[in-house]
Amino acid sequence: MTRSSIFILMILFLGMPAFAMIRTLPFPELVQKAEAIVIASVDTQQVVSPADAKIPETSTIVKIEKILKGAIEADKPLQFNTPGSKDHVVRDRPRFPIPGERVVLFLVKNEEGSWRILNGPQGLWPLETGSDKTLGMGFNYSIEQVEKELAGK
Amino acid sequence: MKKLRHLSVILLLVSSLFMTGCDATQILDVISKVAQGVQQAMPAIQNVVNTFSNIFGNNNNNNNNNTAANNTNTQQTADTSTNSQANVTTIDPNAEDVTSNNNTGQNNNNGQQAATVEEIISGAQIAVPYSQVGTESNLAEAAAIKTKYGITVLDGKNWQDQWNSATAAQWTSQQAAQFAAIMEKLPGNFRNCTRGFTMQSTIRDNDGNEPSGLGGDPIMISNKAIGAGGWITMEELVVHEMTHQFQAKNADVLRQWAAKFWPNNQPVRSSITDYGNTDSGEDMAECVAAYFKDPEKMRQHDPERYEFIRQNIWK
Repeated sequence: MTRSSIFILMILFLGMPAFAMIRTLPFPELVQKAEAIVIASVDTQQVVSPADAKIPETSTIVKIEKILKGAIEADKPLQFNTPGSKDHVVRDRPRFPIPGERVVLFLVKNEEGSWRILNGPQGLWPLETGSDKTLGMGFNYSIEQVEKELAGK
Repeated sequence: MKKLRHLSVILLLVSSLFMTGCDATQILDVISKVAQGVQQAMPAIQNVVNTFSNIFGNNNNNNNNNTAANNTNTQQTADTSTNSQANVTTIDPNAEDVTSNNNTGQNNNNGQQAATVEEIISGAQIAVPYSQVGTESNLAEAAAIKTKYGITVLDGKNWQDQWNSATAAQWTSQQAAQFAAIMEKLPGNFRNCTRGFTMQSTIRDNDGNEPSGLGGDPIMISNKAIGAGGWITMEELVVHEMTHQFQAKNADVLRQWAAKFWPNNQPVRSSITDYGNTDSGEDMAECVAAYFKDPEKMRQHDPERYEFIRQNIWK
């Protein structure tokens, strides 16, 4: 009994670690594998999980500004539910910036036919306000490079 | 200070008494954790002692020990000296860059960066009971690894939670020998931060992605990722994940890294890999893995990051 109590005290049990090292796709493969690539602005964001949820879930709605690749309806907002919230970040999962900010999204269709982000954080590049510099895993690339890759250059 | 040392010894003895029924490894583990905690708390305790000393006019030389904190937290020092002569600064001097940026409020992004660093640290500190995710390998190599390096080698079980799942796997003798060879090359200070490694056949997240490994304690690695046809070498994956355990136990080193290479929550220049550009914790983990694999390549990529690793991590 003493042994097990100490064991519990020593270990902070939070479920399995959401601390995953993803497999990085080479840039050409990322562009090629994405069924749609869009530039979008974050419209709304709200936590949709119950207040006592162990890990919150956030729903983000984005508006498409420009389609770089794929057959996707430009006037239809996209909604993504992601684990975590502003105050409880789940790492190594796509993390949208705050409303008003812009992103490049690499998307694939899931089995139900809705869009999901390709390869976790690699498929969501935040854009620096003002400069449109690609951030996150897109730090070494640019929108122009995506366009060139698509054009086969 | 003498009394504090006596207090620490008493604390250690009490911890030992509570551990009746545990094996020697667990007792040693608890003792080392208590000792580490006391050691980390020393600067703060010292500051509190100084505060009381100053308040009650007991002017001794202890203030000299706070030089670093006073020099680097100018804003805070000025505030406290206006209010009273007592020095109530309990900020770790190693974290001065992050803290002083927040204090001056120059940029809101700094606040975000500080939060991110703390998230990384708490993420790395996540631990689960080993029995939930694996059973201790019965390979002779695994026993040798535990004896020599204090690292438990586990054969992974099938498990699933809300966000990830993994399938069972066992270490092979060859993998364990390869792992032992990696451990042998690591500096003790770095290696000692890790307590357990689990081998899983595959790891999946609920978005359909296949992580190579999961940080935390125990570290979990995917056999598929490092096996034939895999996408990462065992040494890169092992050292990457072990860096997260180093971060969990050396939070100030990560705070310094973030302040130096990730001001405003963005890298000053690219990490060694795209994945390293996700946040400061992954940046450090990728750079340390690269430092281990090919130090010269790391030095050429970024002499400053190279030097930071050499001086603060690889010792």
